[in-house]
Amino acid sequence: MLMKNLGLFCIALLVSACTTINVDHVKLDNSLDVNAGDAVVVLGRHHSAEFETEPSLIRCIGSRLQKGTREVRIIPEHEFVDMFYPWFEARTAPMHPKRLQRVLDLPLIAERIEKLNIRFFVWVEGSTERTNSAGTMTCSIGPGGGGCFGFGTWEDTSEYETVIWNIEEFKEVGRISTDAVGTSYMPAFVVPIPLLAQVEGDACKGMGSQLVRFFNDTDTELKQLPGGE
Amino acid sequence: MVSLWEPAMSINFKKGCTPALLVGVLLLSACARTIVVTGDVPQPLIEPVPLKANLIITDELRRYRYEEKEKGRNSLKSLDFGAAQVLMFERVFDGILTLLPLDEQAVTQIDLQITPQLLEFQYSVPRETKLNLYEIWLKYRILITDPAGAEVADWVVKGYGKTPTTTLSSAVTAFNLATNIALRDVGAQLAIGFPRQPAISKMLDSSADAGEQDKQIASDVAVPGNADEVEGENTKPAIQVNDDDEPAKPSVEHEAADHDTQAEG
Repeated sequence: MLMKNLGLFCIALLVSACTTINVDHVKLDNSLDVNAGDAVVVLGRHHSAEFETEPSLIRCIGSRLQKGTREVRIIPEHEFVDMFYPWFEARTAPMHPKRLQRVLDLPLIAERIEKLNIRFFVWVEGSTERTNSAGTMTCSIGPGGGGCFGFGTWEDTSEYETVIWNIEEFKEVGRISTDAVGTSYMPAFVVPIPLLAQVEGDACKGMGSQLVRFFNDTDTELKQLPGGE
Repeated sequence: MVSLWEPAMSINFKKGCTPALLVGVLLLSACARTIVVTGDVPQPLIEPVPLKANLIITDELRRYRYEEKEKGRNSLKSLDFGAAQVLMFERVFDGILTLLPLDEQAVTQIDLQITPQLLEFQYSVPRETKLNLYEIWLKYRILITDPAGAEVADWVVKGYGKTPTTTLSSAVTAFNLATNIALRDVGAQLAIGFPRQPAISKMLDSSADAGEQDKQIASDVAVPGNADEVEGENTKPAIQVNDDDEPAKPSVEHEAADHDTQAEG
């Protein structure tokens, strides 16, 4: 019996519930030049008092972008904000390209940006929230063992807005809107069997794929640096 | 009708239950509420101002530890961030100006004495706010005097930090992270706002054009002003002051900004 339940639990871990995802992509500059060796910073917006853009999502997007675009180098968020402290904290991060230009006018910052060859900023704003839940579950433990009984279901919703800034011209060059909804289930008969919808993960996949397409777009010629790196 | 699903764990310890298990669970839950914050605020990337100062860290600040005494608030027993806040002040002020060691000889060489004081600490947990966030508020007074002890500036700085709960992270991790973010927030305001303090600005004006660009940038960023400008408690991040030529940001940001201390030019 125990082995059977354990088997069911393992299968449940491999099976996940479904997520519906909608990704809209707007490219505002068709003549975008991406050079080999250009660095991209993926940053989360943390200024809202109502929600927090998950650091795990930012890491996930950065990782997908790094895998999908070999010519572009991704600088992790925590590394970047530490290097440029205090200019990209929740309170001080520029909200518009023109403000970023003013920050980058500071010689110390400009020098470091140039050294790191940073060309693009990718700002991600939004969060994944629990929007609905139902069901009950009771777990008990005793000398002869324990177990859970019941059924639970919940719905998670993601809403993210990704904005891409080109810091050579200090303007927005692209925007990706992502909405994802997924329902998870957890029936429990002795052992809880989670059928989880990976809403945040799926939103990351959607945004990551669009960003990869953005930087690898066939309209955008990937240029080699004179050194031929 | 939709009922909220909250996995209710009813643990029935029947005959023969191992008391050690119960003790172990109780010990684990108790340990989880005593938190020592370990922080590491980076050196600020700013042009230092041509001033020399002593940073006076009081024992009270160095050994500060918040003890929760309110019944019913059992998410936190104590939060020790004395060392983390001292590290932040030392690192940030070391980047803003030249810090000299505290000794009698230094008094003749310094321009300023800086004494930070923690005025208030507050926190909230997801169970209290129904938000999926751990939040920390800090309020400091930065007393700046000349070497003779005459007041140069009395500056109140508020810091806010929040971190989302995640499935596998504990309250310890969340409190630690939120406190660090709040300390970084305080440090950021100090680093950007220090040259803007009217008295400091006046002192710097007598020097060369040092820090001119920093001040211009700082004037665009929301930073706290003097103590008498403070409006309310529980301040959330001030966010941004919009560019004149840019559209307004969502109302949430403005609302938050309205509640925070805004520096005057």
